[in-house]
Amino acid sequence: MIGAIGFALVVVSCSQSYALLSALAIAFVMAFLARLNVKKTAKKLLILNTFVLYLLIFLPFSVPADQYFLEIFSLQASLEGLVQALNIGFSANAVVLMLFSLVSNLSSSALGCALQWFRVPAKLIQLLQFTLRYLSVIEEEFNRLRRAMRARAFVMSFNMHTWKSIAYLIAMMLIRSINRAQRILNAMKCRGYQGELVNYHQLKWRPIDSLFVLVITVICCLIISFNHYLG
Amino acid sequence: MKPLLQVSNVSHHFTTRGCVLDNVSFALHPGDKLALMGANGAGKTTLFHLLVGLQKCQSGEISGMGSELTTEQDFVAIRKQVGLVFQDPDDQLFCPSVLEDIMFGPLNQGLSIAKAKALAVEMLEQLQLAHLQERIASELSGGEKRMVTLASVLVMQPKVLLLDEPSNALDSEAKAQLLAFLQRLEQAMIVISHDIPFIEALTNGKLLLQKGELTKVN
Repeated sequence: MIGAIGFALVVVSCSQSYALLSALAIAFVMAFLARLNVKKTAKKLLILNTFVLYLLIFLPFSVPADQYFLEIFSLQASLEGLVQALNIGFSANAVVLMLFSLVSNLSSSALGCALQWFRVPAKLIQLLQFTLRYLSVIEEEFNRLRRAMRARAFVMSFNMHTWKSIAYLIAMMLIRSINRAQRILNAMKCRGYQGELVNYHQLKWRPIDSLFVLVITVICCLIISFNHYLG
Repeated sequence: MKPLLQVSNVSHHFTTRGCVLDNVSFALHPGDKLALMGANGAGKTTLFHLLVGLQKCQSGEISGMGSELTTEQDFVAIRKQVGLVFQDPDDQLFCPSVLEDIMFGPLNQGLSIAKAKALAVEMLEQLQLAHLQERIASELSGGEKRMVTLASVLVMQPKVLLLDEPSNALDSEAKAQLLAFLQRLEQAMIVISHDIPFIEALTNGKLLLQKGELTKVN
């Protein structure tokens, strides 16, 4: 986690394309080493890159420059704007990919333990852990209700009936979530829960962690030097 | 012999459903394996919740291990000796992995992580569930979930087991496996079930909850 944060800080402080491209290449290598699911990762990156696409379209037209490479009607697109948009795209992809590689493989309890080390309040950690655990359950519940609606010939359209049905669906999900949360709390109390979750993971510094810190430090130094000397 | 659990003149009513328990009294002794029967909405689950303090007793007395239970602290202590297995396993399993879920109770009892893990692994091996320990609880089959919830309670070594419809939604093979396991247990237990052959094979006494009244039946 420290590695991911350090890498992110270095990348966002860089402004040169070479440095950002090298950071992106390193992030890809890390993603390969972390054996991330290609399809899932690509899907997530695609969502991120739709925002980058907006920047690519609009930023060249909004950054003033001496020379323009494109003119549409009276709108002029500058190379500086395009480079700026590309740099934002490179850095966003590099940071997100590195975060996926280093953090997404952690179990929620390991993540909780790491956040505890960062002195994040216990309540926030519990909230995060339960959210991670129950996202799939909420999705399942949503799909179950949607199936039940479809089974009774419900088709989404732009009318009052649809909006009303969606409102009922959301309300039902909220009610079910509250009821289930209460039942889970009861079950936890039955097993001795008194407001505090005990962490299953204990962070221990191992030689491989030292090696990893060294590698990340070298990577960060390389990116900084690329940014400084190749600019 | 001192009863493990004793309920004396307990009454409970809901504003929406009216009176579900009316002066209910019974005692559970070591070795007792009682079936608690009754129609849907008769108050069986409510009675279980009252026994472990998940719902507040409106009138009457509940005692556990020889002492009266009144405050939340009393119930916190009794929950370490009385294991409640919920009707729906999904309400009980909340950790990312099976192993972590089973370690949850022992950790709350103050055991070290290493000891809790050792106990959890041992329990999973006893129930022949060792292959599930790294699995995500929400992705288990119904039978597996049921066995894991049982393991998560048994690992706390309770003196009493309260089982809320344990054979619910199990196929015949899983049910037979569960029954064989429960028959081997020495703990006193109360079992809520509508499955007559299952409770005939498991229990040595029956309680019938009907219109708020609890009666012992033969």
